[in-house]
Amino acid sequence: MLTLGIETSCDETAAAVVRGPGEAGVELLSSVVASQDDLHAHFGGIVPEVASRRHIEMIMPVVGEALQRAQAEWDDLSAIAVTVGPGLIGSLVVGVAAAKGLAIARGLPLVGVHHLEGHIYSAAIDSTLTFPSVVLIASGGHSHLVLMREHGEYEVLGRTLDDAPGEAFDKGARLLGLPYPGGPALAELADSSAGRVDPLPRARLPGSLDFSFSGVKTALARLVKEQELDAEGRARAAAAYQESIALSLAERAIEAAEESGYLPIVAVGGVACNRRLRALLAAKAEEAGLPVIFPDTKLCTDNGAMVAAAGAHKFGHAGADSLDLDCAANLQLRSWPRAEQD
Amino acid sequence: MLILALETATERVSAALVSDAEVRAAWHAETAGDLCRRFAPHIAELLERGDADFGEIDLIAVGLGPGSFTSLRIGLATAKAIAHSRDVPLVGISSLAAMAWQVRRRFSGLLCPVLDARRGDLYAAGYQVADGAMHQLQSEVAAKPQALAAALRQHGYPITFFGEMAPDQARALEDLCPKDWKVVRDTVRPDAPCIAELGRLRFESDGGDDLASLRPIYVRMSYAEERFDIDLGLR
Repeated sequence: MLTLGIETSCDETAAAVVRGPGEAGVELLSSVVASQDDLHAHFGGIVPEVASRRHIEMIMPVVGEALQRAQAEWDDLSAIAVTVGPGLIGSLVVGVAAAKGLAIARGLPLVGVHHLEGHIYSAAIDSTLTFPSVVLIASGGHSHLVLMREHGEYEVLGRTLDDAPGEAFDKGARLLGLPYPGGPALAELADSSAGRVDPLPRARLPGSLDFSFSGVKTALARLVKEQELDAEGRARAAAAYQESIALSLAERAIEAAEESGYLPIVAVGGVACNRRLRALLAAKAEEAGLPVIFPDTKLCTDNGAMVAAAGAHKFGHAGADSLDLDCAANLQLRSWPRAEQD
Repeated sequence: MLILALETATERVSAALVSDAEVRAAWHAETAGDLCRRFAPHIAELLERGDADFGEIDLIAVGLGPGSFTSLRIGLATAKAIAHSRDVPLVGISSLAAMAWQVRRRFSGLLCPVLDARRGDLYAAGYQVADGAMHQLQSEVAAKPQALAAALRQHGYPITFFGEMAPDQARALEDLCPKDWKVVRDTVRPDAPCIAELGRLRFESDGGDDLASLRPIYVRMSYAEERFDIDLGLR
């Protein structure tokens, strides 16, 4: 069974084809991502109308390329999966309208995928999810800790109270005068700093598994304002900032895994590409005796493969969605309805 | 020739299945922000009513606006997906041209279809009909009534303004009109059968549009481009 996945929730136009799921998860046959960083760099951030205008021009070339690279014909497909939110509404509707157009024209089942479950299922590509487990989703727009007991069963244990970690990275980068997109630039600057750095003061939220990144942002703003930072100083400030964010994410993930019964940890989302977070989380998990799984970094940032993977699993467990499927800028992560058993 | 036509520039959206100039099935509805949810199921149902399969479609014609950016992209993404997956040619038609085509036998002189473009502007264009063929004399613009009238005056024809406009916009146009111009108060909105007819004519003359790069007729830059004075060439 082949599934086409389409993702247009933010500023990447993406499509992919996967086979399965089988015993080794879904097999990735193709994944095409058209980034818009060049456009939004002019404005220092994502402009929704600009993103939508690029999506409508990229959507069919990207879908066509995904099919071609997978050497798949329309008749080979079994389902079409598409991100239905959360995200920029003008961007979402381009992907959803295209997916529906394909579904009616080819008579294919349509499966709506929540963007966060897309990220979760990036760990089910050429690999399998084990249950129960705790998933850390850390990305540009989200930070969630989710307990999964079974495919499509989500219990949100904690979330950010203010910025998402990727957003925090971007804002920190702006404070340090780094070009857009700031997250990777900040990480690169941080990695250039020699020696150990202490993290900046961080928010403590005792008795909860929530996150907060506004305090560390304020600390960095104060540091940049009060001190004339030379090149090494800026690198050390970036490293301290990155350390704070990575520590918050890693410590909370370990706490959540321990509190839920010493469960394995799966770390997904664009920020899960961050080398420092990977190293810290791996070290702390080893200390605690917990397994930790990271998907390939290429699958962590927004892509169509994760949507196809989530859609393929969801189709098997919960069946197709109706053609009047809606999309929404704000959308809660919900467990799948179970298909009726015979 | 079996043509599927889609039109989503205004809140009155429509779709039609047209076979050799005969409308086999048509659908229209007023939408209020739920176009993405409702559009595809209605197109599937339209084909059923027209007793046609997606594989039998010879041409897809789509209204390009100007109009609501998001609604236009929903229509165009749907059209592109059907055309691409069925390997059918696609042709994009100005929704204002479709409005002019609809009234070409009712009015004479320079036909000026208008739609409310918000911010006090009108989307407008100018067409002339001669020997059964329609020619565009004024390209699509978003302009205040005064600037629009000034731009159209230079063509030297009596003008008929019609379409969908707010009462104060209609009054503003009437105040600007010399004796031989007129403003038609009855609402005219673009309709899919006219998109189909103009689509067929365009397809017969130039074979249609490039599917990938076809974009709505935005007329306007995005607000961010205007504010930062950066033209990304996305119009």
